[in-house]
Amino acid sequence: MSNEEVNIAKSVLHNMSDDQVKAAKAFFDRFSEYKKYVKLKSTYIDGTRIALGNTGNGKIYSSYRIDGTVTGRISNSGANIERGRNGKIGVSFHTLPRENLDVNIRDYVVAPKGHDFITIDMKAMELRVLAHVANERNMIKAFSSGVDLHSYSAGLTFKKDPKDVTKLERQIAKEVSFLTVYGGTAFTLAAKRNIPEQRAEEIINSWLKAFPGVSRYMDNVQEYIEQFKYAKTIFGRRRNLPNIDSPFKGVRREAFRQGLNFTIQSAASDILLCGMLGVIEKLKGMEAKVVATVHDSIELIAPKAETRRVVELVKDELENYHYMRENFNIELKVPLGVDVEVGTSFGNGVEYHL
Amino acid sequence: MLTVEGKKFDWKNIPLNFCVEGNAKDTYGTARVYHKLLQELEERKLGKLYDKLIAPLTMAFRDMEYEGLLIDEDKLEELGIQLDDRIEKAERALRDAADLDDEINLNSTKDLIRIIFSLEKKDKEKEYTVVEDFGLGLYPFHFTKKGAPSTNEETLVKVGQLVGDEYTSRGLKDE
Repeated sequence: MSNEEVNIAKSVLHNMSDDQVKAAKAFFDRFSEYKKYVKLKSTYIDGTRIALGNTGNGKIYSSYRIDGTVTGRISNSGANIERGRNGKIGVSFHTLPRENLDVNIRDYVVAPKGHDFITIDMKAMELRVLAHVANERNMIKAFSSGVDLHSYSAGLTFKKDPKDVTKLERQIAKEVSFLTVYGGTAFTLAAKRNIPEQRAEEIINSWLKAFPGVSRYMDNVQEYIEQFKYAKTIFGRRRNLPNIDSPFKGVRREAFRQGLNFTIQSAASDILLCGMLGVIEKLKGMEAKVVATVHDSIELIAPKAETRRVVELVKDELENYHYMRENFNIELKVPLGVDVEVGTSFGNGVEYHL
Repeated sequence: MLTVEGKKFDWKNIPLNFCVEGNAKDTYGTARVYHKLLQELEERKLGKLYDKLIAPLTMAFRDMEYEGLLIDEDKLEELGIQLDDRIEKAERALRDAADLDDEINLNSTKDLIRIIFSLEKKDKEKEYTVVEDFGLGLYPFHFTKKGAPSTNEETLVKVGQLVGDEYTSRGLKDE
């Protein structure tokens, strides 16, 4: 839909009765729920059946691109042997929603007999990167002391003891932190939480006050982009942002948002990728191997006898980032943490403690 | 089709001196590009990023692409059944909320236009007419090339969002 069409839609909706809006909302909520499941079935069940039919060996294959996104994040899709859906030999787990999914689709990706499927998830990567690049003391303190960041920030935002923070308050604080990273507005929060826009704005301002380093960082990034016309990450990656000179305010704001987001997302992705390279180096000579990376996680398969050793190695490499230290000379102001799950499939892992 | 002196392209039809010259130019060009790109990488201080991250990653991903992921086909079928069940329940909830009987096909463009925009076009008629007392009566904001109200995913997701925004800004609550 064009901007013009969106504006027409807005004014038409504005003139509808409350009952009409309610009926439309009820319809679209349920319609999107219905479509969500239809799409999951088609992408993952039907898609995997087609892929298995093409490969004939019980496996599916992915295709990774290191130049597939402007931020330098990895993109992934099912590999193809011919053009079109029927030529697929894989599906992309990058598009599988992470939250609110009551059907554990990943469960059908398994380790061979006698092997474990190990999933290593980097904890709150983007916010840790934000704390580092913004040199935000309260956030660094929270990460260093190991308290739950979102309860802590909810405490600061809603001005109460982190112990007394409700589940909803924690969730809202979490959403606000991501709005900051991704450049959302008070309206985004209001719509999501169904609260008045003014209240959403108060919450966001209160959150920003709790972490003053973040606002300072945002100002610095803006100045940098205005001066150099690009944003740069701690790894030296650049994203050109010529739109920062646009005569249109909205376009300039979007360029800034993209730049800010880039400095965080791209660095978070590169930290994980460095970790993955370090892990691969360390696994040389072992049977265990990295089989996938999906967003902030690394997936491995290891013979059961190797699992413990593999988890030790991987945890050490990812938490102490040897590869990144040695090759990029980056020392982070926050500790990195990982969640390790071990099971027989991508979906059935349980928390694993050494 | 590329021809050399009127002959169909085939390496064996190409005189050796042509091949030598062509390949030499190819190599020379590649070397020039290599030095130019290398210089650009260094100018932007991206040499290290390339050597220590990008280049080793291509090898790492090559290995992962080659390895593939093993699938448990029984589990796949079981998950398919679970999803069918969710689809059925979600469809029931949708039909109940919007008061749609089983005659309505949720995958038919014609029926979606009736439900969302309260419009229909009878066979052989050119224009859409309003269906009284049926559907949401939304204005069709976006049209297909043929002029029909668009019901593609992108449009419906956007319209759904706009409806949600309007609902929020009015401060409406579900009863």
